[in-house]
Amino acid sequence: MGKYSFTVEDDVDGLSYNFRTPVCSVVVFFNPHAYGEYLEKYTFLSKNTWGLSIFSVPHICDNHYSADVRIRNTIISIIEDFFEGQGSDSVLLYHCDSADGKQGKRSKKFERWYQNSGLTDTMEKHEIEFTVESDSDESQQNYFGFIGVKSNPHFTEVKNEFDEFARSLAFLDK
Amino acid sequence: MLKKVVISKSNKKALEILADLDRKKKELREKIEKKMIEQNASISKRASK
Repeated sequence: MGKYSFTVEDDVDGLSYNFRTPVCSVVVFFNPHAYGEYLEKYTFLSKNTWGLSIFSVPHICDNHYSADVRIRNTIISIIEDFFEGQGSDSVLLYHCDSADGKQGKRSKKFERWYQNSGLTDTMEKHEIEFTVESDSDESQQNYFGFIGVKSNPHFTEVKNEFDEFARSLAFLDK
Repeated sequence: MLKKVVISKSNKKALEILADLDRKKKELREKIEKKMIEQNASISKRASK
């Protein structure tokens, strides 16, 4: 499996895994405080839960870097390394960046990466689509998900709490 | 398991949470991108020597 070598940096805000391709630099960032304040009431989701973010900065003009399969392979390898280091009871939470309106594409790409990786044997990914109603015909979608190791002894509880968190968001005004 | 959730446009609290998470993601992205750009500039400078 072709992939890039990566370095790990213990940043003040979390763990930063970095690698460089011929056309871009990529950071896979794990932040233990990303969602903390919204998860305090959940017994299992509030423990060992890290926010996952992936950022890239191109260093030459090339719109085709995302076709580089080694980027996917490296990110998958980083996620595996993260769980090896942090333990199987860790959980990764993510939401797709919606600043540029491309959150749907990010969600689909991440799902494709997950399905085409070896992660499906040992890990489970679950994502919920949040549709924010709008006055116009164009409602906005947001995507929240988590990845956990199947051998996590509390995986069922984590899944249930994630669903409960999603439901509670929908009924916060009730 | 749940697949889809609809959030009403009047659900101010949920909209605030979504906006807060987006804001935090933006801040983190800007911080990391700044660092990456500085590192790339440093690498380019070393390579050109």
